[in-house]
Amino acid sequence: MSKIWQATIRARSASLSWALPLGLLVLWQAASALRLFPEQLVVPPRQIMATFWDLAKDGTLFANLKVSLLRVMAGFLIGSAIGLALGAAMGLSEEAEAYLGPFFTALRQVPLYGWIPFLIVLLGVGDGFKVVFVAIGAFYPMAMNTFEGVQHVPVQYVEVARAYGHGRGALLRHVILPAALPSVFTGLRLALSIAWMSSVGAEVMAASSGLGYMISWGRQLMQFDIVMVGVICIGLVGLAMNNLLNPLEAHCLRWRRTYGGRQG
Amino acid sequence: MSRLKALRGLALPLLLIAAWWLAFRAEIASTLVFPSPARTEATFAALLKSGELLFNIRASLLRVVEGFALGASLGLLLGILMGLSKAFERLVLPTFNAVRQVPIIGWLPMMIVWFGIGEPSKVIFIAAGAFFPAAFNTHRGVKGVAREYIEVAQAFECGKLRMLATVILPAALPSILTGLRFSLSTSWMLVVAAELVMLTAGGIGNMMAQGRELFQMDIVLVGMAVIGAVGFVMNHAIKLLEARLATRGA
Repeated sequence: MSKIWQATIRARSASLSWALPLGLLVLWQAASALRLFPEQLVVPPRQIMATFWDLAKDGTLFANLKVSLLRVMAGFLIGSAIGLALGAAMGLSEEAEAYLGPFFTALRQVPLYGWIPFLIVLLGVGDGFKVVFVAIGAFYPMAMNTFEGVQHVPVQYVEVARAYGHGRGALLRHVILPAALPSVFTGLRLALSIAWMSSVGAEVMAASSGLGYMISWGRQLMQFDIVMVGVICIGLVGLAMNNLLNPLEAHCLRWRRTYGGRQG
Repeated sequence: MSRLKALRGLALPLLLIAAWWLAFRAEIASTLVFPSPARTEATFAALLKSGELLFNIRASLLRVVEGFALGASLGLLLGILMGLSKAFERLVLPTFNAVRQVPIIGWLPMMIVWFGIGEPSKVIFIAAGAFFPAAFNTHRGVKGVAREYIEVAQAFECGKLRMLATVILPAALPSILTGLRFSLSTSWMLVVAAELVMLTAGGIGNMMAQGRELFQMDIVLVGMAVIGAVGFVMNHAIKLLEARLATRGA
């Protein structure tokens, strides 16, 4: 009985969550059918589907997607690797923190997009600039969260490990790394989403390929359907990236008994 | 000890400035791309003296204030509504989460199509950036209010509005302030982006974009230092507010 009841509630809540997007879609369709706005500004939904199909079929979409993904991967790997190393160094050694911490904090104050003119003068508008820009974006959250994760490892853990005569390597591998891992994953997650954001941003500002470029280009042609398709794809990739880390995180943190909130 | 630590923190920046200066003296770096430290300082002084710098800071700050006020208040409202009403949450949250997946910068071309490259477009773009962190954190804060508080308030037959003002909002305040801090720093980042792309009517991003086009790295560097400093001050202002409110609440 209660199962049926629960299913009903779930079905109702699911139908409610579809109400808003469907309602918007109906409004959108109505607005474009009644020509309330110029057709260039509010493209009918069906036109967007058609454009999506066209862009997918002639390869434009995948070519741009591939370029964007390659940039993100390169920048993310470089930036998060350096961030991990720096964060771990600053967390483990007070000396490293004293030397690097203040400079790191000062540099972090520059908003990400503020780097763009600097990097363009330095590196031009090619792929180098974009990869470095994405790397800078991925670097900060990774460094910050790794640092905090390592620093907040309970001192008792370390004392117990020392009491059992663990060496530095074993301490690092069996105590500090696992204890800091949840925080490292938070950093990884943030780094990936900021990397995606920076890649799109760099492409919107200066590029000749990639999804960000595609939407800029659509705008210049006043082809709003292309812009919409691009925005939707960018959102979907962002969502996929966020979900990509879930199984990895669940696997690496499977020892954690409190873990599981994320599935709920 | 702590003074010694502070001194060690200065080592790396000083080293970098020394390297910069040496690279300039040894003519390793092209002066076109990299101006000397002295030249950058002189540019800073000149921009300050001519009033150009302050004019641009003012233009950027004004946009941030407008966009932030608009976006954060809408976000606050949505967050409270989603936190208070289960039905409203079910209706809006999935769409909210889906829309949140698109990086704000991805909306920029659309904003330009809809609103042009003038002032409204920039302010709406900034407002969109301020909206999401405010809504997200307010929602979380309101949802996280301990059930006991509400039960006690209900036992005392506290009205809905009074409960919101005297129980729910104060309890959710730390989370709301965190959201507002994120909103403000996002706004500050996006104003630079907006000004880099839509080149009109001043602003720090505008100044930097012009510096870049003219290959005047000194202007770009001054711009970076200034946006960093202003961002730092804004962030700390809200942190101070958070600390003060936290001690008052205790």
